[in-house]
Amino acid sequence: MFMLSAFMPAANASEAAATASTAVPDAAAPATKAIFPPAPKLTEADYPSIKGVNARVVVWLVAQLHLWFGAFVVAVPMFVFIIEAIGMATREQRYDKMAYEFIKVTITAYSLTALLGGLLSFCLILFYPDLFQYLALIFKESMFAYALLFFAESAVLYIYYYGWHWLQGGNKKWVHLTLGLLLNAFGLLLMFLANAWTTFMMSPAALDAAGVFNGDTWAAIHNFLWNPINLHRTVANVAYGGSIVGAYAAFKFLSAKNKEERAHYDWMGYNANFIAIGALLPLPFAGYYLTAEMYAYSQQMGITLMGGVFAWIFIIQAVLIGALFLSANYYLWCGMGRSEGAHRYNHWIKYIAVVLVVSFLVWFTPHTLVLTNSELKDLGGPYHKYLGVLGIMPAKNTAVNFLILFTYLSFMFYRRSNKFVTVSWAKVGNAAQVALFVAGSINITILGVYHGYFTNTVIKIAASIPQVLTTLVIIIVSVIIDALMYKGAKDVAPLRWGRMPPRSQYALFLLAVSFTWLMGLMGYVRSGIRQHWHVYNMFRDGSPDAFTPGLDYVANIVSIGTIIFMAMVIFVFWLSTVSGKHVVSKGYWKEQQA
Amino acid sequence: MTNFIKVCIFSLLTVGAFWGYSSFGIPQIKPAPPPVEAKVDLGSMTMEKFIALGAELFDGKGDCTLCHNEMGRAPMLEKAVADAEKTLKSPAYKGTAKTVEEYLYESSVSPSVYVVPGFGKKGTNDTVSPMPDATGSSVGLTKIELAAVIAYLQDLSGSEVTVQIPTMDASAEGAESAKSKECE
Repeated sequence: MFMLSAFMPAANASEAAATASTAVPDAAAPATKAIFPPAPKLTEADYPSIKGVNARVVVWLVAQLHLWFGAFVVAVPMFVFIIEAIGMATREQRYDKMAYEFIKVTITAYSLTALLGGLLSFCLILFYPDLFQYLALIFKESMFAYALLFFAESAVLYIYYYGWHWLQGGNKKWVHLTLGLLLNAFGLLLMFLANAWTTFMMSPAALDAAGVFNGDTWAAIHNFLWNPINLHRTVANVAYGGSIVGAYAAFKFLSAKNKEERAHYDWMGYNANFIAIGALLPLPFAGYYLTAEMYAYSQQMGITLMGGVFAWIFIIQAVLIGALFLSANYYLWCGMGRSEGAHRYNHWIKYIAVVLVVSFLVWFTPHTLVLTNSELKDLGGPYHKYLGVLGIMPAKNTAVNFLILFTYLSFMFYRRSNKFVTVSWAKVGNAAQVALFVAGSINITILGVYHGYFTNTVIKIAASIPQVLTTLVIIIVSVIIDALMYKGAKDVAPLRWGRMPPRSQYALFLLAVSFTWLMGLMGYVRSGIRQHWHVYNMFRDGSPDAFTPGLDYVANIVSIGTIIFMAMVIFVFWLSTVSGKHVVSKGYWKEQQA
Repeated sequence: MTNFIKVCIFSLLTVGAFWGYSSFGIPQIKPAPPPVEAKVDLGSMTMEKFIALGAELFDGKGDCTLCHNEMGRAPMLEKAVADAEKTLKSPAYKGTAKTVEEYLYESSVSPSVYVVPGFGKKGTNDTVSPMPDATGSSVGLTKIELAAVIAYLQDLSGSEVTVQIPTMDASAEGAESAKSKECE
């Protein structure tokens, strides 16, 4: 954070600026600070156009592609660092090899991220010059820092990657690991800076009624939604990065020529899925935090998001997240086939599947429906007699907590399937875990039912925090019990890596594609919630594309973006495959004389 | 190569499924276009038309029904006049309004002057209202539009409409003052 601290003036001044950093007009700004122009009032004529090119669609697609690749290249070094550290701690070289393979995929993706970032800047300057100028004046220091950080990150990444086999053993390995840490620090700082520009447009800070900026750089960066987005994007990026390298491993598994290769990529796929799911579990909580902060910033924005024209998007989101959970669980269940002791847990899988499917169905049950008059008459009102009660937020909160809990249960069974417990208190430990799950599930249900159906609308979502805490307590306590109970446990038999049906690998592809589409959709929501504003409530979008598009239009753009991205990702996978091939072309080169 | 094709087809089918569900499985709502400044013809304005304009703004540009609805986020406004009369007599009220009309105006532009118990921002003990200034940039009602909304609320409550239709002079004055504010 040392770069950011450079923008921070004396603590008091900074705090004062931050206090003033709301969208509330600040007419009392000192005249000496008014060196920034007011927010321009633009008309359609102020937006340059190129015949046959829709500026918004171009910027939308380029920005989204940049974000997808950016998310991937920020995330992968995080778990590469952890995997490398695990390798150093356990001295098992397979971890080091896997970490190297992950970073190898990142190298090409990094170049594409930079290219797309440059293209995005050009598009913004070309199609939205006034907006770019307005933001560039406010963020000039942070944009300059961004460029410097980008050079620093590139340098560290190349040393980290190309020096991998050079910096091996002893202190050299520590130097390499430190480079990994630096790489992550630079990557995250870059993301946080870019997040500040984005969130400033949603929750502008230190602006007066005319949109004149009267704060310092830190006040603009540290706007209301900056931290919630930082947290949400960091967690989401890890989950996303895991899913993309999972797809890479699945692709390599399906193309494997021998048992060893299949075993290696099966193991890699398992780890990638573990990373994706590990980060996916806390993601809904980060999402709730972000949404709650949006409400806190502007109730108007919050209600438009959850109860206005964007509300149906959350039903689609539920379907997509449901697909993520189901595919991740399916992969885990298939993975139990690697173990000889899995038969002890197999009969539980069908019950877990039922809970997951029911939770999924509850999650995507809509509350209010858009109906014709005759449909309304047939239904007897806007809500379905039985299913209407499942549409409200507490029911969905309850469902998502069960999705998370039972996914964890799948993972716990997977971990246990190849172990014989040896401690004398195993029965007590198991009983404690069962009690924990049952009591927790009852608590989650009661909280959801009470707040959902016996309180007024304003405090209906009050159940979410205690429900989340219950889920976290169950998982954390259960992990501790399991860790103690299975310490020194014996393996039933060596795990048969590679003993996976090919269909299981498609679960990993489903995970990656669903994640990509989901990110595209939620990226639209985050941006679209500003509606007809470039900078919310301050700088109006005067372009012909200022309207909020319908869902079918959004689905078209997100789908096109996803297909382009997946094509580019396959290109990256192909490059990393061919880079390892060495063809000996006999007779092509002149024989060298000794 | 076979696996490559299979993976591509699978990915395309997955994208197609999400696209199809979003395009055909979800009701397509056409979002309202960005609000435009309505040109009010004050010359031919009658009280009936003025109230109708207020009703239109209440449901449309004003975004009032986003919160003032049966969901309980903000007080219902069918009895706004009766509620305002009670509030004006209440010792808890510390505002400057003397009449219902003034109170409705004050509540719209300075909602935190008096917050109806139970409707304040969380953690503020009903001292801060979550409602934005109706004439501020997020809602952006002009003074004439706000007057129309107040007339509508008085009419909705079944009370006498005390709001006067602004004259052409007042309208020009309002526009001038808004212009000079922009230049400051």
